[in-house]
Amino acid sequence: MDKPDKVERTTQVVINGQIPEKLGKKVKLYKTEEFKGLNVNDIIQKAKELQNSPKS
Amino acid sequence: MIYKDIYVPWSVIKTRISSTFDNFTYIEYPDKYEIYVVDKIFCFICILSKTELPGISTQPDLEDFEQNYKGKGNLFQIYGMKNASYSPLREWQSVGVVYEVQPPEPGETFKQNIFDTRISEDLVGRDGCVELVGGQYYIKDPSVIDERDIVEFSVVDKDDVLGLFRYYDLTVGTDVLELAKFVRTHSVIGGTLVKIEPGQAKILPLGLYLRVSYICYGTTPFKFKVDYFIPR
Repeated sequence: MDKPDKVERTTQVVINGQIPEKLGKKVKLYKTEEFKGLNVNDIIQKAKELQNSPKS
Repeated sequence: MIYKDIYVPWSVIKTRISSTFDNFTYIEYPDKYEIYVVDKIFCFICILSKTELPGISTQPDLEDFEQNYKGKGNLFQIYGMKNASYSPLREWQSVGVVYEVQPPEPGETFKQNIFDTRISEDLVGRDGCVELVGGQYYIKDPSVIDERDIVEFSVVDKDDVLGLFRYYDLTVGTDVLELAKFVRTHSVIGGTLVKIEPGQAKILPLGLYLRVSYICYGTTPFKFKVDYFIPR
């Protein structure tokens, strides 16, 4: 089943029953170059390793 | 809900397995099976040895299980298999949450209802993590569901628990990092328990969120009950 059209108004979204003041960004980590193909357990492990490394 | 554990022989636990096998889970080890059957507040547990024990013939029970039940239950993990994470030392628990789904506003076609449940201190084990191994959802009245309704289940970081927000220029408070989506564009089913299969046990640290996204096209609000199975 296809997803609906992109949400354009905040009134179309409620988070835990509340309309958010604004819609923030969402990054799908499992689709990023660094984490693509990893399962969530490996993602968390790799994130721990990255925490102490400088931003490239 | 914390279940009350009751250890029983195979001849007893098999009578507690539902006709649809949906309350029946097992773990396979090299030398034994651990079998769990949930019935109301009770968790019946049976240990079936793969080897003969002194003075006890386990072969008939073992054959009955392997031939008639094994393939029909939920297998948590095979002990020793790569990525196996389930520890038998963890305590089984089912965490139930009841959400209220809101319909779209007048003039709009749908409403995305996001429900976030934080992995809190109450849920994690001694290692600071929980293992999400599955769950189920339930909507009592199927007539409230529009045929276009979809639901998704994911794990997200909202509070920079993983320390990755700086890599993606995200801001705590508004932005979200989605780690995994284990149920995607699922067409909603009502009137029955529906299983959630995360695919593998997910070891999740304190502070992440279990997210449900329900996209509603209907016209009336309704209760949406979710149970997460998270031995901790």
